[in-house]
Amino acid sequence: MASIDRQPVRAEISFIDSSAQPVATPYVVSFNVRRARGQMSATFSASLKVESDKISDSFLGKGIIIKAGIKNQLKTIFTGRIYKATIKPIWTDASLVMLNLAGKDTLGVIEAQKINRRVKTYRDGSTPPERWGMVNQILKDNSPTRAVIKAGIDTNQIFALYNAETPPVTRTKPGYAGGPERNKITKLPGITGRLVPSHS
Amino acid sequence: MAQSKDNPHFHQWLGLAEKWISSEDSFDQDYPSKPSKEGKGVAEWLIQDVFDLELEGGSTGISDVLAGYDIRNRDAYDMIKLSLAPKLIDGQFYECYADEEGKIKFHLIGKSGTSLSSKILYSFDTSTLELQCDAVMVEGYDPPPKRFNRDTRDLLTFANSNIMSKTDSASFADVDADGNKYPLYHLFGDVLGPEACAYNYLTNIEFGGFPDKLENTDPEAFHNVKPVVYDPEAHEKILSYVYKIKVGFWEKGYTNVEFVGRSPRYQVLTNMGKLQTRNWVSDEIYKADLCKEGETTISYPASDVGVELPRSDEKKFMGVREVYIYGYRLKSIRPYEAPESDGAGGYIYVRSSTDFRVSLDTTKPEPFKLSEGTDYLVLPKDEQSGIFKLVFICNVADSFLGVYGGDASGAGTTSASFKIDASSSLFERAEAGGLKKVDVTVETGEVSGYLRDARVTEEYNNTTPHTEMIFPTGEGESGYVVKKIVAVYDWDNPSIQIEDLRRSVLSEASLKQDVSIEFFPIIIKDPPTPVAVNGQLLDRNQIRPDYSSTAKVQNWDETEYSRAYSSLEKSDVKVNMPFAEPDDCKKISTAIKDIQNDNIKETTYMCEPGAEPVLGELINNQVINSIDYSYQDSSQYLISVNAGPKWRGVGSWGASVYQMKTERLQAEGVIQQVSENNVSCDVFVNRFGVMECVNGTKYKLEKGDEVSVTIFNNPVSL
Repeated sequence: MASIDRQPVRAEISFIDSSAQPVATPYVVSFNVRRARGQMSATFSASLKVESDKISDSFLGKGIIIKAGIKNQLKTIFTGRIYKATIKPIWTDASLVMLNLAGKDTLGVIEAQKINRRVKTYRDGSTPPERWGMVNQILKDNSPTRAVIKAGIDTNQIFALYNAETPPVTRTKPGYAGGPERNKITKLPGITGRLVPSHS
Repeated sequence: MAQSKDNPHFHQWLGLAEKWISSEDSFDQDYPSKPSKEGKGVAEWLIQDVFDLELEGGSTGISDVLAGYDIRNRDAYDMIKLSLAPKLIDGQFYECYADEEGKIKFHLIGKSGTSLSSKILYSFDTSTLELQCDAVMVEGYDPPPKRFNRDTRDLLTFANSNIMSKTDSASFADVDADGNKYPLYHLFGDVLGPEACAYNYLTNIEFGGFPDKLENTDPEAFHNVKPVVYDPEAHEKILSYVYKIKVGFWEKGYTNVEFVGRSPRYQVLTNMGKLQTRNWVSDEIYKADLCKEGETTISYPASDVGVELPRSDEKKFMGVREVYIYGYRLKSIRPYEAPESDGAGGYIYVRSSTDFRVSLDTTKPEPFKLSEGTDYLVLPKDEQSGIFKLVFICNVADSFLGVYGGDASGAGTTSASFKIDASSSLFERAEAGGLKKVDVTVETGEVSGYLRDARVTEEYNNTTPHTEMIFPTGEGESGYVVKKIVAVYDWDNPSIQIEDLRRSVLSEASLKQDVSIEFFPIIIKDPPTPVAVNGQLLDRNQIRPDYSSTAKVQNWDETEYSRAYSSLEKSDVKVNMPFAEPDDCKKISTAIKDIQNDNIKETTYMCEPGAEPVLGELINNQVINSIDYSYQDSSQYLISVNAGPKWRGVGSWGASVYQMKTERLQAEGVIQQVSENNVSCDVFVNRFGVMECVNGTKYKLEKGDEVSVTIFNNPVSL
């Protein structure tokens, strides 16, 4: 059965980019560090006893390193930044104040940050576009003729052709438009007989 | 339709189709459907370049570039997680955290063991009963549509092959009795006879249908039979067709080539049947008896009246456009009364066996167009058969009615006999040139001469009886000798109408030899978003309508695809991986299912002060999910480690990062510039700016057109 042995536990909290001196046991009253999956950045909170006349610098945004472990075998357990700092007087010792700190690790700077990385269209022809659209409907034709006359292969309406060599008229005719009408007494030239001079 | 003599004409795409992109492969080179995955991973780029953080050395080269995924105002940490998710394809689940030194590290979850065992003071187990995860659905990268064209096909014979490809050929024979006979060449002059070749200046080449009407939606047909032009199973659809037309004899100013929606069919009839008489119904108008009663009431003609129109009961018979008689005109028709001596030096005229004496100018036949309603009616034969009759109308005395027209028995025609009236119709050569009338009196008897058409190779006389079928006009005092009747059907098949004013060019032989019409389909291929469930890709084709005649029932509820969606439960997982290709989706769904159904036991370990636990490492086959360092009262220090299932510690697959759907967005824009081949254009798209767009319409685009644009792979705002 496991037993709990008395061990000399030490903690040390140092500051980066700050003139504040490191704080170590017994002035490190308490700290909590939580690191969990699904939680973007590890968080910490700590309470330190510091001399009141040494708090001349702002802690906010400064780096912090928390080490703890057996005496002379301290291990770094947290590196991050201070997001919140408050002080409270210690009634039993007027020379000291209780400095309460909280913050997140280095990944905390990403929190709530939005980014953009748009796909590109290379218009110089050197590289295929990474994304393109597809025109699927003409809403309003810039050519007024085409706008009102729809092109279709089996329409009898007139429509324009691009680069046409002759007037491109498409029309549907009756089955035999050229035929003579019986009631109009029309005859095709060159088919029916006509009077010709007789041979001399 | 314009074209040059030597170069084919590309119908509706003249000047553009020549520069067309040619195949699916070439389109893919210009517009890759699988974006390039080269470059720095998004997570690496964000940490090192954007936020200037230190990345642990072993974490480089792990994150994915999220190729083709448009990141717009997205949460940075979500994007880091998303760019690590592709490692699920290899069964590796990475997460991004800072280590104790402040370096950013991509932790491989649940793979490496921890050295924590010797530092554990004690532990206790907890567990929660969880529902089993039955299905993990992964939706992947929605590839953009492609536009390309397939090989050309012969339009004129396409219907033959297409119809023949059907397994149920009998049913298609019902639809089109002409089956595999296309193309059919319709030349009016050929119908009339060799002497009428000059009428071949307007011809039609009939084919079985435009390809869009013949689309075969049976995937088997595409794989087995060449003429089917697209593969619906591969998510292809036809955008439009380009017609490549070549007319060898084309001459500017003479030749005109057109598509027409229907085709004329020249049906030759040799019999008129019994004529239908008309009656006066007002002071001025004759009406056929058939129409007289109630004006709108259609009576059925008597069985011996009119002639049946062959094939008029078929579905493609749309009516009779026109009716021609092919014959020659009789300027006057009078009852024949032969002169006989009255015994007193005079003559009396008595009726004989010959019916008529006629005046005419020629016996050379030519086509005469009849007027519907005046000369003929098209009426249903009866109530049941669906056959139509062509009924000719006349206004002659009942005593002569039987002489005109034809014989409805079909065995032959009713023949009227006539002799030519010499005084009005016969001529002889005049010595001064030209013709002069023959001298004829009652005493002259038989005289011979030429007709007024001056064809001097043939002589006629006034005594030879001629037996012909006559169609009377007026009250029968004039009419036509009918050699042939041509009914022009309106047939429900498209055709190419070729007109050539030179009149000597068009013949069936020249049409067969010199006219070719090919088409090639412009195809849009738009594969759907791949969806995998438990390592199996779902087949979208399962919910594609099956038009096969053998499909009796379509129950989509029973398909694997539908059931996958309808059976998702609370404990199941549905995630979107907008970078994953089909095979990737399979692997990711397998990986997630393995992760999700990991053991459900959780254990809390209390460790010594010297312990160095690391998130994601394994301890007793459990993953370290959280670590708490607690230092109290300036002297008590405890490290608490919670280990459990690989997935449970992270949260939910329903988290936004795993639900990052993409959508296809419709936006409007104005075309700024169009490429030379009209396949692509630059469009100023509202809210997006200028974007290169592929022409997905069947129309030619022009600068300034206002268009609707589909933008794909657009992230959905969450």
